[in-house]
Amino acid sequence: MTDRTPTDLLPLPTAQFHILTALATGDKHGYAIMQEVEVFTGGAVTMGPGTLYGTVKQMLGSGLIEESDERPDPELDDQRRRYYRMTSLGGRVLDAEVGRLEHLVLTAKARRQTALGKQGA
Amino acid sequence: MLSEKLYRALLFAYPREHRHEYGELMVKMFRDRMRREGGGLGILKVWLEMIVDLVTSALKEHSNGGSMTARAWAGNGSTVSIVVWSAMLFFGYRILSDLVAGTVFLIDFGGDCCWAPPVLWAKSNVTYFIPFTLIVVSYPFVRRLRHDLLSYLWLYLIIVGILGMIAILSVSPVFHSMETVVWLVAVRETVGLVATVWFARKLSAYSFESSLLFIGLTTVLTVPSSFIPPQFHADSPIAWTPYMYITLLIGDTLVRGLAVWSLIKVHDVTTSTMSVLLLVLPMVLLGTALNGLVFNVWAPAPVDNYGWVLPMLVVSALAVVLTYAVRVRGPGEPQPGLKLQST
Repeated sequence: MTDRTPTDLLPLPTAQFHILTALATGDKHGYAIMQEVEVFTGGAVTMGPGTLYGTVKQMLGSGLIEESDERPDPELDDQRRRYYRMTSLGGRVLDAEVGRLEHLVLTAKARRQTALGKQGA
Repeated sequence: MLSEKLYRALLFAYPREHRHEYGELMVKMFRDRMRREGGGLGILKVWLEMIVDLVTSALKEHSNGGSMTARAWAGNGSTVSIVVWSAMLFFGYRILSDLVAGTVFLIDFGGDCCWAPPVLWAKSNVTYFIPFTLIVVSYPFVRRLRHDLLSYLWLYLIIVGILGMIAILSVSPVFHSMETVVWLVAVRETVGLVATVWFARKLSAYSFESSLLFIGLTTVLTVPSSFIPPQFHADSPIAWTPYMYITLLIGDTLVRGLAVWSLIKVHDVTTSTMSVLLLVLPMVLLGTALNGLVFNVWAPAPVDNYGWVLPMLVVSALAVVLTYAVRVRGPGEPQPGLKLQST
């Protein structure tokens, strides 16, 4: 996995983007990832177990995330849960994807404004 | 908790290795979701989400190379689809053709087709040959659109329509002999089977998903048509009882479920002729047995229905031969639309 560059993995599928974004603030288990995604998408996206763990499997395979042994609060936590954390490659891929999306948004805005300008002229 | 048990059972839709690795975690997440929603409509909402999630993600897991089915599909053309289609359509085709032809072409077949409300509705509104004529006449124009799939569908619809004509013939008073009627039906089944396998081959050149979608649609379309109470048809000669009805319902579900299950679960189906036969034969025999059982033992119809058995067996054998014949012809055409990556 070490010879992979972030751009090899772009564009990032939406589900992987959501999971990386959820893990950007720290290690989380599956249900917490689902809740986090629900929050930052304003309730528009609720990841089901099938989608979530299918995507997690792919991301573990491509080295974007890894399982974490650390427990935020071992006494309160259910030991059967598995926690995931973003790898350094995952972080770089997320940054690259954010940059790609930003560029797309800027391009779309610029082209739209050009079109509106032509209409107004 | 019943919901949890049901969800756990549904996880069998995933490949075994995926289930072993993530099954418990998925159940736990399902449980968390259920707890959060509380009860009532919330549970219904979760279930709707879970079913969509389960179907889409299970298909992805199978097509991601985690399952031999997807690899066999990719490596050996449409063989797997033909095996499943041959078996499944043998049972589903007759009802499908009645429903489709009856609805689209508004044909009054008599018999079981008329249980379907769309047919009843359509008959009361339009003359029945007009749509069929329109479809036939418009075929050259559809061809000009150069959309292969649409052309195939159109042609398939025409074939189903023609088979509907055979169905009309088979219930005509001209054929007093039950044996003649039965053989006509068998011919219709055979032609329908060949046409559908042909269509399946064309369709599977597009993508794994489109073939699977069509199989799913066939299942959804055909099963409910069997479930509609036959009492809708006032002239039905069969004295239906709830017991017969439930048996048909369960049998139908089992057979079609088995066909879809085979698609998903039987992995090395393309590796030997014997495995192909082993897949097809039980379904064929089960279907034949169900037909024989229901129409002979529990349905004291005013006609001698024992004549069904031989034609059914002939068509069953044809299904097996056809499956084998197509299989030994070798890999199918290249599949430009095939996607084995879910990304």
